[in-house]
Amino acid sequence: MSAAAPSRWPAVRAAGIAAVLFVHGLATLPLPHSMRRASFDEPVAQEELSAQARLLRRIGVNVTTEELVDVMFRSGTAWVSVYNAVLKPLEPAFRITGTGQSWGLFTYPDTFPHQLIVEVRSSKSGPWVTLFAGLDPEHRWMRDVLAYRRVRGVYDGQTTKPGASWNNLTKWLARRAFTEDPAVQAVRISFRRFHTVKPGEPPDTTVEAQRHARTWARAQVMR
Amino acid sequence: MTWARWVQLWDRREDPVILAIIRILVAGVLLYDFLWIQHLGLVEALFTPQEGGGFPDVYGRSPVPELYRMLPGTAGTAFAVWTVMVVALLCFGVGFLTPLAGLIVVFTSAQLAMVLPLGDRGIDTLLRNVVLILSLSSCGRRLGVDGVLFGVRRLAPAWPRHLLILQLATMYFCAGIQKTALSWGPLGGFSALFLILQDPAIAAWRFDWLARWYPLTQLATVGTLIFEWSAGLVPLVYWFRDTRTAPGRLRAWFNTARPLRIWVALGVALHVGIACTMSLGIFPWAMLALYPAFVHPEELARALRARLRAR
Repeated sequence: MSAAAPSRWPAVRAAGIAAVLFVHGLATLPLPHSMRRASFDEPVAQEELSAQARLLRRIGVNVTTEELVDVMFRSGTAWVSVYNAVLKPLEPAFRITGTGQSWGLFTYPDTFPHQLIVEVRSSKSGPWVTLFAGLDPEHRWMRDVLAYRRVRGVYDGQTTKPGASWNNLTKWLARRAFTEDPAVQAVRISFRRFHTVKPGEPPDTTVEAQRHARTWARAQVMR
Repeated sequence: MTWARWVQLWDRREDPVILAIIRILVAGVLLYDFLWIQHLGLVEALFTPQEGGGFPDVYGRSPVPELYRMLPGTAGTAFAVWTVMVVALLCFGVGFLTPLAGLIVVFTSAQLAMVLPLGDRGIDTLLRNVVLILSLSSCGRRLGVDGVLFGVRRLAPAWPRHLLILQLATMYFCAGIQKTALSWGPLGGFSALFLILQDPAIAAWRFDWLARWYPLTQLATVGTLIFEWSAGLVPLVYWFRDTRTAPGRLRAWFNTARPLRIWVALGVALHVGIACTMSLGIFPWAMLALYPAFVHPEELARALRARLRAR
């Protein structure tokens, strides 16, 4: 009786793992998946780029912030083309499994963060009363909900250019406020942007601003 | 490395008990997350299209997730999907029809990510990667109902644990090399963690008093970078361990000094620190749930035997 033929399974598995490692290896490369020229105009990007341009000038590379933006945008766009050519065909597989290898975690700490603020008022000309302000221990209305990571993603991810889900979130919050207190006639949800500076640097209040405010009247929401 | 060695590398066997422990921990963390969503009354808000009363603009994007191409965009659908997810996670956790339950978790989670992309974080992607690997492993045949139904396996392919190690090392290393903001380096005064802790959307508490402890945050910034960059050496540690009989001072040092233990301890400290200072939900706990991957089943067995002897 002859010995059993060696199984091909280990070799097939090893080939499969090699293919997966190759694809995911490419996906791990920290290359941009898309480029938007407008991203370079954000205050945090401008602050970072100005500092980098200053640094380059100090070591003898004479470059302005605008020139640096041009170089970065052009090289980034080139990388996007490479990414699209190699990994685009595999996108359906990544999409349907929700898998991926993008690990840019706290790449650029936000020096212009936004504080979410929820305010209500009981009459048309009455004063706005704060219900919630991010991290403010005295205004903690629905803190658990607003600090929950998926909800935080909805508002913190839209501080630059609020989309439909920002409107939907604010309307949903307004409905909760109207339901909880029948005296409330209007709800305003907005961000307060401020500038974080390092210890020892002079405080900068010039950029403080209320942004992306959405005001909802009871009649608009509780129909 | 020759092809034969590559095949042999991925054909090793070990007790799948570590994979089973990771399965239970990951399912537990995810189950907590989904039950917390229900507790906060957010199932409808997070997973129903805006037309049905939720946050997501599902039909305004292309492509529309398969879920809402096949089913109506109502709160009922959102609750049904949430229920499927919870049941699948329960099955995955107890190891009942583990591969099927795991695949349902992955595909359902992916659909929910498409429904509300802004609510889907890096940790969700990582956990889908991990659950997919675990679904293809024998983790349900150990410490699970599948073991009772189909027979316990005390020897199974080791590649899923090795892939998990590679995944963790890759994630940390890539996170490290992408921290290119000046605030992560000396030119920005290693101020990154100080700045992050001033962000009301991230910090768990007010840290405006932290300026007095600035050097401590600078030290923590440096520690984070060292930890993440050194993740690139993790595969090397395993390579040296695997070729311990080969010559070389570096190899000998790696095999005697056990740098992996120090690195893992740093990682635990990092995630406990994140849990105490940042409001990142399940992130630190989910990461720690994957750390058993760094323990070889034999090491666990030895530790348990020693503990029994000590009693």
